[in-house]
Amino acid sequence: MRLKKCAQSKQQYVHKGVLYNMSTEVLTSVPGNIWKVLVEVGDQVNEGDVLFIMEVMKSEVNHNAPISGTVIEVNISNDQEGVSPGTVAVVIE
Amino acid sequence: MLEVINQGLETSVQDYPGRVGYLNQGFPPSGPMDSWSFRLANLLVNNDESEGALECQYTGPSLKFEQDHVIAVCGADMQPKIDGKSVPMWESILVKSGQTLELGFSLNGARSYISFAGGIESKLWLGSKSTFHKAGVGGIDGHAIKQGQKISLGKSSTKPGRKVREDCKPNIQDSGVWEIEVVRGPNDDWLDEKGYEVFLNAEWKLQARSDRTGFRLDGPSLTFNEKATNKSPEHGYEPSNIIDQGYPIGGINLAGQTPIILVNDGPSMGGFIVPFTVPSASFWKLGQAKPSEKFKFREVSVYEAQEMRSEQTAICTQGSII
Repeated sequence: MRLKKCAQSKQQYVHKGVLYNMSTEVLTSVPGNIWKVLVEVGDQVNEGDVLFIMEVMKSEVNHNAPISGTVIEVNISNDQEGVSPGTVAVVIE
Repeated sequence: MLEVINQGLETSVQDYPGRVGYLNQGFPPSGPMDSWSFRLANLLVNNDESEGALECQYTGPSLKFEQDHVIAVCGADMQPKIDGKSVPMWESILVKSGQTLELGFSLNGARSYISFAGGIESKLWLGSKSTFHKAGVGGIDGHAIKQGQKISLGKSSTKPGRKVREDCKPNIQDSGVWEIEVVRGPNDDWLDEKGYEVFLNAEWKLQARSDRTGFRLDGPSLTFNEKATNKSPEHGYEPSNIIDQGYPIGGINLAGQTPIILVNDGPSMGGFIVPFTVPSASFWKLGQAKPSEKFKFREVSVYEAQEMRSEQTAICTQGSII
């Protein structure tokens, strides 16, 4: 399932003279375990690529990239248990 | 009529009390896991408490309405919105033709119920609208709802703004530990006294590999009576094996050292002992527990379990709606 609604966009901003691009946070959509993380920091992803898969109710719940870009943060790991919904799992810019 | 824009996670049609009377043929009752919230949702839109409604699990669906319709959302807080604007739960609300109702992920609890004035029009299978997703029977085409599907709704007029009295709602807490009542048995003499004590004193963690069939628990190892360890071979090799028997709904099955609570879509028989059973009045708590939350079991008598059920039945009436 596509989970576009679980992504949050940030605007471009300047901090101490450095221009930061718009980044998008991909949030976990269900409570459960992280089964597989398929991306690392620095990876280029296309919109729709599966970033990570959660496990809940014996089902795999795919979390897809809402935009194309570069992965700048991965805050989850394989087999991590008891992750709450709404956790910032991956950030893409 | 409404159209499924996003299906959510195994969102299904259920009715109450489900497909009762066919367990001897292998068909579990199915039905809503939190029947307390489910019944209140139906009562809010002036339906019979048993009418078909949607059960949403962990993350809800988006539904586009083709006619004006009065609905209600009860149970877990999945942040319901109509065309992006938050709408109240535990209250009948009007969705206008062309509007989309969207439920997100659950902030509190695990299962949310959407009722529709006039109910959901789906064929009865063995006397019930309830979906038994794994077997592919009941509901709409036998399975959870799918993107692009159209769902026919019944016609009934009722007014928006009807609310559930505050003291009549189930307390869907978020403390991470649920106290779950259990009745001892049917296999009440297979664990030794220490085994029963350890079971009741432990905090059991709900595994993510739990669904409407069974809730798997992690916790300490249990010890057995001689009855379990020194028995005739047809019972099986493990201490927790027993010659095949019927399972009660809510039975806590001991598979090796893993307790599995057999819930609404659970199996009707098998060869593991059932040292405890969760009474029906406590099922709503199972339905609202999330993976990695803990269960602490409290033993009650059959009489107390029946009292709890009577109290819940009394709450699930129009007297709780204002």
